[in-house]
Amino acid sequence: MYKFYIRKLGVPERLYHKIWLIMRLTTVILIASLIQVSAATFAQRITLNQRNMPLESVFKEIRKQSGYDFFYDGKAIKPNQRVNISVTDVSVEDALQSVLKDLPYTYEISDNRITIRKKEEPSFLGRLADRLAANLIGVRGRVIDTDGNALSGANVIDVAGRKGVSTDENGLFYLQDVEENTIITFSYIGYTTKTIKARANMGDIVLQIASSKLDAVQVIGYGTATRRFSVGATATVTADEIEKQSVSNMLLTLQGRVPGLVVTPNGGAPGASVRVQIRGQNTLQNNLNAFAPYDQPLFIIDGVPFAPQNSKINVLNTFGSRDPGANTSTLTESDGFSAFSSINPANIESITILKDADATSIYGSQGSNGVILITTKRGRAGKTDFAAKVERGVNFVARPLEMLNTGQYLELRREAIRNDQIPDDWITPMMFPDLTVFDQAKYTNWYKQFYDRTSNNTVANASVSGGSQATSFRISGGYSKANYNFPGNFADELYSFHSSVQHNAFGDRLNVEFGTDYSYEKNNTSGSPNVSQAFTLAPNVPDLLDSQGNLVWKYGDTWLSAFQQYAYLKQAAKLQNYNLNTHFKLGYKILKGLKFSTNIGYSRVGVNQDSNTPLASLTPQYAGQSRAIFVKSAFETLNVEPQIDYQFSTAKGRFTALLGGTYKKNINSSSALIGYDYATDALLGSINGAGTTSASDDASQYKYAAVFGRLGYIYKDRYIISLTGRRDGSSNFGPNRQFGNFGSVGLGWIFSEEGNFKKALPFISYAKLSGNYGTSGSDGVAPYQFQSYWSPVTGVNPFQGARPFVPGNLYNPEYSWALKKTLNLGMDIGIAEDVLLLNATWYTSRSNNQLSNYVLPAQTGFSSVLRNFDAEVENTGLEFSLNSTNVKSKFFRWSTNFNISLNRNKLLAFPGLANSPYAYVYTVGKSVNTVQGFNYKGVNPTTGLFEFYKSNGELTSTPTSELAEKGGDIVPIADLQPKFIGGLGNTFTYKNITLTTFFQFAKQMSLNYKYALYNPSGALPGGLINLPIQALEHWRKEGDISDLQRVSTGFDFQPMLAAQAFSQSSGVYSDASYIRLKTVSLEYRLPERLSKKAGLKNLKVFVNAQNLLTITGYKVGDPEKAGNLYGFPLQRTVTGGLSFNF
Amino acid sequence: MVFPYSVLLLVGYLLIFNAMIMKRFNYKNILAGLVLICGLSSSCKKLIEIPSNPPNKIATSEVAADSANVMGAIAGIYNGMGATMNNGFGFSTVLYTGLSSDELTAGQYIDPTTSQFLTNTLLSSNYFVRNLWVDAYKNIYQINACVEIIGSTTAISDALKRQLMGEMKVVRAFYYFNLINLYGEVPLVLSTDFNLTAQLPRASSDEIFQQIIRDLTEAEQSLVTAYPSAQRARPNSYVAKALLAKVYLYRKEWQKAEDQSDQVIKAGSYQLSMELNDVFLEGSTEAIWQLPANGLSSQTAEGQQFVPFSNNNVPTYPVTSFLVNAFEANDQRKQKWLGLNMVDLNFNGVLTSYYYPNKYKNNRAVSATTEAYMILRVAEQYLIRAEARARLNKLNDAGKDLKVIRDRAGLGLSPAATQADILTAIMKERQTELFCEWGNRWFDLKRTETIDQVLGAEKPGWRATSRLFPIPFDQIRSNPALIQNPGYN
Repeated sequence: MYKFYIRKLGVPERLYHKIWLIMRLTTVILIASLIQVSAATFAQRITLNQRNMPLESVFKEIRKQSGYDFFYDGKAIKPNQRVNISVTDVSVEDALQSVLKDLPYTYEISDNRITIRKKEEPSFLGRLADRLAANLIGVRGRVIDTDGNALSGANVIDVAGRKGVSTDENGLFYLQDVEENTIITFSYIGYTTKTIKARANMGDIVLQIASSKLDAVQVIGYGTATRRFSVGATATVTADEIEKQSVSNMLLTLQGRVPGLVVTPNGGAPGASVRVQIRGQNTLQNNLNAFAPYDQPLFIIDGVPFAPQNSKINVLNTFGSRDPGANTSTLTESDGFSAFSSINPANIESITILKDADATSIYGSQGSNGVILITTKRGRAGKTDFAAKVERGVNFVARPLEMLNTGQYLELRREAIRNDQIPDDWITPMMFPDLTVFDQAKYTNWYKQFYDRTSNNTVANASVSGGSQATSFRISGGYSKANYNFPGNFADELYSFHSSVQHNAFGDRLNVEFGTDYSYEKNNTSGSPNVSQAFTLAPNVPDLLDSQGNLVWKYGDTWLSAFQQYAYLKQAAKLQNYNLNTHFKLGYKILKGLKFSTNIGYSRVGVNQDSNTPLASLTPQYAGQSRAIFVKSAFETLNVEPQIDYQFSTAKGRFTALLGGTYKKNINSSSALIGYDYATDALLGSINGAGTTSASDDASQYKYAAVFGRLGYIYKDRYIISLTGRRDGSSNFGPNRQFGNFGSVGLGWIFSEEGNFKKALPFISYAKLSGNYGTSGSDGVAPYQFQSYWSPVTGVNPFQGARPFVPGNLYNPEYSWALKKTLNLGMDIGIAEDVLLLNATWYTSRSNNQLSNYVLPAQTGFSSVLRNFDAEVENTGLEFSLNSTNVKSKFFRWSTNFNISLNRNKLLAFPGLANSPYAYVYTVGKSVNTVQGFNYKGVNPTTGLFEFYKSNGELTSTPTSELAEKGGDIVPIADLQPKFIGGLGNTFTYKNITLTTFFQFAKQMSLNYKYALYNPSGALPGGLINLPIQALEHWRKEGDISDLQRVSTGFDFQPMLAAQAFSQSSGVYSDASYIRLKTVSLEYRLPERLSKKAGLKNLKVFVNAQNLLTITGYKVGDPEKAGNLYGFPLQRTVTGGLSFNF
Repeated sequence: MVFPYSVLLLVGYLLIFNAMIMKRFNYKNILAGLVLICGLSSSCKKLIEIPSNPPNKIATSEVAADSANVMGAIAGIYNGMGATMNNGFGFSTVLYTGLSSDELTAGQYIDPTTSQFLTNTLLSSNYFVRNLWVDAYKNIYQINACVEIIGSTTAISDALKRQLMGEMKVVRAFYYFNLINLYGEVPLVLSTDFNLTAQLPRASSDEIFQQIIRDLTEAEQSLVTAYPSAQRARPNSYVAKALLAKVYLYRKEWQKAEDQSDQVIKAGSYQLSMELNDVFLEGSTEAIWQLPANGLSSQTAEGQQFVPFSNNNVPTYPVTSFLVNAFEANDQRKQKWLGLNMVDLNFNGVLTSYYYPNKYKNNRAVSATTEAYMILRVAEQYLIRAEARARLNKLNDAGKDLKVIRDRAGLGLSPAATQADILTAIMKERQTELFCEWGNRWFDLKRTETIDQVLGAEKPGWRATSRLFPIPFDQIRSNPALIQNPGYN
């Protein structure tokens, strides 16, 4: 894939500058021509080696050796100026040139006389005359790449003549009136610029693909930049890294690749959401769940904020979109379907992650959690290129579970009954069907039935691109299908269509760009989120399907309603996602260097969700009602951003300025229709067949306006200053609190450009220190919270003719922006012509005036209120990355990229913490990812119960659920912030074979499988639930030293209390560090002559694998989805395919 | 709006740019540009204006401004009492106290969280316990909000204000009465301001009862004897009296209990329905307070949850043998208020009997009869008066009240003669008359201090601390001022 590379400073742009600018530009170029005013050559040779010699003495010495007299004006020339001279046996002219080379003087030799004068800038006319006197020729040639393909639209520039042309579609050019032997530069985006002396027929000019990452163009907020001159922390992941990964959600392609970016899949189901967090948690959480909170960055696609952002797009909870076990009616933030799975990764050109203030302050109140810019592919001028790629593969559970068999299970159950001393008359078929009714010898491996299988993935993409310098386009279509690794006809399918067209007119003054991304995603699944834990059925539960595949509801006289998991597979749920992202960009160069542009964009994600509960799927045991739910929801964003860019360059520096405005409008809406009691299941697809119906809807609006600006100056290619600012207004805030100001200052110093640096350390080709400080904000709250509202209750009949109302939120008019201040310091080193590039970054940020849904006890009527509070959170971290080209020979190429980052989080202040709901969650001075709970000791060998340390050091199985400082036993027990995360990628190319490997690693603490076993809302080990084989390691008799406490059916309160305490203890946290071979890709490019026979180019076959290998000490389950034993497991994917162009 | 705005803004920028970049330091241009930009920036406010309310919600001020909206808010409270909701306050109270006491058991495998009630091994993390609490306080918030709205609105007449205020106080008292019986002392929330209510600790029992009595007394005064709307859905003054009678009974203020129940019984509006099957129908003559149960898919939650779909089914929640055995022979209530399924469990012709609560009989929304959700009925008033009279040693009168109930059940005169025997007889009668209604059995066992003796004998692992539900774990966490009940962590 191609990259955008920026031209090195100073060459082609100058061509376009007006004379009034040029006048001030530089005289350097002209010195040479003046010096060439030649004089007669004298035979005398000069030898002179002196340091720090006064100029006058030098002249005297030359006079002595040559016999020439010197004339100069003592006022204009400073004779005491000290100079160095080191010449041996040279002509007088050479000696003079050597002396005067750094001085603003020139000389003239006539009649044994040397006149020294101050240099004069030549007049315009003089230069014109010079040029007219030159020998002008016409120059022609062809620009091609290393493969011999014509490069259309390459720039061919006569530097001195300040004129240029672009190559035509065959790469040909003709440049008139060029001075012979003058310098011609050939440049093309993504290729190294070449400089050649002009001659009439220049033949083929071959441009190499640029390899320096330093000069690769990165998309940044409202512009582009290169790493070379950046003073902020940004990182870019490019298409070639993305396309080697067989993942359906584009966010997952970022895993491990960017320092400071934590990407966590919420599940292995197709379409499942992905958590993304940049540089730690800034805001305090809005619930008291055990799940670590996370901040969402701002997502922008082609300049347009993605309408749903990274929030879940489903309204109904379905299998795969939600993990089981969370029995509360509220969704946790981690659940849901991801809108990003409707974006075809094949259409992405690059993803840029903006991390610090320099990069994000320009996004003001939206930027404090970082910004992720997604840029889609564009057309390229040149011959029309058709490309296609097909890929097919399988996936299976990455780390499957081994469950108890019937013998082990029943023995464990009986042991639990003995332990609990349950009276015989309580051991009824209703309470203990597995022990009294079901076949004691029957064994079904339910894990095998549900998860231990392979499912298929298919991906197909095709594109056409091409065009001329004036108009270029790219159109692509894609299809992908990922099956659920689960029985039932469940799959996620994506149809995507992407188009992009660019047009330049009026000699490149007008640029028009239009891009559209439309996709349709269909996710067929079950309406029951909890079916993912179907495999915890007791292994002797009778067959649930008969030989015809019908549901079995009764075993003898015992109802199987509570066990009939296959029924949920008949409760079809369908999510359809219609994703439209479109942008129109108009640019106009008002003057040279001054450009006005406007980006108008619209993003809409419309989601239709249907869920059916046919009567056939309901147990005949109860008076079931068939039901169908139809939900339509939409996320819409309209974004208008006019901006003015201004650039000008002088000999010494380049100045850039940007001013712009934003107008943004978000509308989220949803409506739901529920039909009950259908006459027949066949009508479930429509509301019309329903016996009774109910409907509800919801909508909200958010408007946002801002002005923003950025000033940048790069002096002498070595000193950089960057200023950004933004003023924001948001309708999410109450009157008089709607506006906020944000800004940043950044400085950079490329010290490798300093005088003697390169001489002293020639192996260091690039070295930069940079830093920035600034503010950004957060307004990530729901609209309409500053008043209290009431809404009518839906789904009920009126109460005596009155439609019931319920209050919707608490009244708090006084909240405003959260503020984050970030300091970022970075150092970049390039070694050996940038073959090795290193970056080290340190940052610290403080977020205060926290804006969050502040947790409240239910006695207030609500679980939270939106408010600011005075807590201050600090994130400090180090990031390190390395890019290296280890070997670069004719046949073999090996490159490595590596990154590692660590973030340390600290709650600096929280006034009133002790009496707040957060007292049990946070501790001042500790990470906000710290978990508080009981300090776990082990299983008491005598009682067989879990034991904990009391705060006084004693042991107990019933610790006091109160903070240690208040006399209880709750202390900080774990910090869930990863200690460090990172990735290591290697690419080996030998001739036509390319092998890419990517390892992702994390050092972290996380929940372990025991948390799932002792989840307080589920059955204890010993209850009617099957368990992983590790449950055998439990206490059995006095004296046992064991991992788990004695099993219990739930009749005995003591093990229940101990289990509840255990689920809040350090015992459920353990090391979840891992190294995972995230991606392996092996690609073979067929020899050109073979593919040519097939009429193709670039024919490649490849095998990709995802999550192939995991090295971890984490015992049961997947460390990437820690503590989540019963959710949809992460998948290992192996695919193969081929791609070609023609 | 947007487009002209951006164009003008850009003109502003251009003026400044032009002035600065072209080195024509024309201050007039800069000034003009600045004025333009600043002027437009202040119109930024317009850019971010949104409608005053989302389309499906109205602000509190708008609720108060319109009498229909006020009635909507009031309707929300009655709806929130959950006559038709399986997880509503009413059915949850019935089910969980029924399982916790000796009324209900499990006929089918029940989930571990529900089974904690049955085995009296409740954890503070039990989310049903939580939902019950949250549900109550949600409605209490709405009641308090309505009290504030009624106090401030000008959209309704003073008479209506008085009526509605009385209703709100009855409902509030009702919630606190149930809460204190379920959880023990609870935070006493009387306002909507979270700054005042978020950190309230548990109020003392006396404080709560004083508030309940104050609310009911005030309600009784501001309500009239006529019901304000159709049926007996919204309280009149007798509802306040009837509840007051129950409260005084629990407070052992026998005389007051007798007075209040006496007034209700003598009002003449409430007669025992001689047909037991009619008691829970809409329009029941013995109803004092009865909410419409007109859900979309069911009538009462009790009907839907307790009554099995078919005769062959083991009910999910059959009544216990303790309750079945409490009925005397020929008790009509056993015939009419308990359902019976005879199930051949092992296909051997041996039928096992499963009784289930059958006061509410409709398990579907569409039925031949319309049931309504009983909150207070006059039979309970007879039992209250009987008990109060027995305590006051008016044994003869107590016996007469008891006879009214027994007559209706088709039973003869109770042989009880001594005060103790009469009290025992009354308790038994309460058990069989009021079973599976609003936690009466559970509450009676507690207030009479017989719970340890009765349940200790019936249930394995009974502990004295099980008499109170735990304060939900997350509530303890979100309000550090709350202290957990003994026996829980």
